[in-house]
Amino acid sequence: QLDANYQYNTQGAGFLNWTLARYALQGQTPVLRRFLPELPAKLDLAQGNLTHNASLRFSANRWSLQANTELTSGVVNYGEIYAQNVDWKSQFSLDSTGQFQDQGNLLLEYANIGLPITSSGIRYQYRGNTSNTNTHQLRLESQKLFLLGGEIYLPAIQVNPLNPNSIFLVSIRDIQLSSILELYAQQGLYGEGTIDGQLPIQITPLGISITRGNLGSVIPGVIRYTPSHGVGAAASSNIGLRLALDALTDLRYTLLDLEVNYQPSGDAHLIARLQGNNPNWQQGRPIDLTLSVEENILDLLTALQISNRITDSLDRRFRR
Amino acid sequence: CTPTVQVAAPTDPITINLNVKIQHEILVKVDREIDALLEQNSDLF
Amino acid sequence: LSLEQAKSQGLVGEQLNGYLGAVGNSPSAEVRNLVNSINQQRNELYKQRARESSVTLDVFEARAGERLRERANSGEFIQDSNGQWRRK
Repeated sequence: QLDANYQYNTQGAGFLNWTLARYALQGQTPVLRRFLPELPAKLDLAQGNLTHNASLRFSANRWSLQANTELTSGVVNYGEIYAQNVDWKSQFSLDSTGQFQDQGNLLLEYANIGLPITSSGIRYQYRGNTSNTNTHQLRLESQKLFLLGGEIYLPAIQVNPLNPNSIFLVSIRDIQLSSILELYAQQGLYGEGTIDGQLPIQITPLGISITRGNLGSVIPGVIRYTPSHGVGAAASSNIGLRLALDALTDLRYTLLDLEVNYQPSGDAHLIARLQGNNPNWQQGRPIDLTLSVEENILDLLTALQISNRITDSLDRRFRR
Repeated sequence: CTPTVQVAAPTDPITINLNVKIQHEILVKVDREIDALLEQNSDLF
Repeated sequence: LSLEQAKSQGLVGEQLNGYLGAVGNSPSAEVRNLVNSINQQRNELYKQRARESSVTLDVFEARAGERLRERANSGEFIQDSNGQWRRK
């Protein structure tokens, strides 16, 4: 429940404090939307405990607001993206000159954007003046994201989210080739190896793009692909495909070099260069294989999100 | 001694180039079909 | 009785499987006819569109059900993940 107290004197100065004790979020998003109309439509705060307290000081011609908000063990859906054990702590201030600042920490113990991701905690600070969007500035402390068996290290960045223009280097460590290939759920496709490297991330008002990011591995690995009937048939007419499929039946690589290019539209162009051999093909003669792969990563994530949800609802229907 | 000729496997690498275009069509196509359904048959949905 | 009226009066709701369901255990004849007629037409469309997107019918139905429940207006009935009717 919400309790408040206020006081003001004859000169019109005073204060108003209010406190919201533990407020259970069970299916209360429509209620919250009335208080916070700017909550994005796709956002659903399914579960969690919210505590909030604030004080508004005012005098004849100015006022200032301080508010502390905390969400614990939240379950949040944003469209097809799902996050669990979300802890969010925010200190917010706003005054009559329009100067605002929100500072806090967001911890996502488990998020699923089609593949599971964990974050080490996002410490942020967002400030500026409501009257001038050029003054808006979001600062994110460095943090780690854990996915695909490895981790991504994000440096501290400072950007105006309303007009972003920033380039920063993200470093990738120990990403497992097996986890990547599993995303494609292709029968007969198996791989083992780790991938490290750095990606230059550019953020512009159009979105995120990567140009000639360089990932790779000097630790030997293996790729085995025994194609389904369809692919094998296609290979009979295409010598390049035939050779690649023969090599990939058991490709033991000693060097993997991966160039990553990505556009805001989600279109990615990946150039993988593998050097190694296949012990039971051409007497193990050395192989230098270059795979140029084009795909849309956003479509991949959408497909993963949909198939995760469909398998859930199909499982439930058949279990009943 | 008699020289023996041994056919060693050629050591120069076989270079292979392959272009692959991955279409994540199926489930994305399902969503597009549903979008179209909802638009064209608003009386049913 | 139009579909929209039936939905806003809480007589029918979107089910998990992409079809319409009567809410409550003694729907009027009118509601039953509306539900059957709409579901029959939806089934025709789902079969055709599932073939075109080369997925099985139940995958198409499951995804349609999900989209329809997401799209339902607040206050309308939808089936939750364990099959119970609840107001959105």
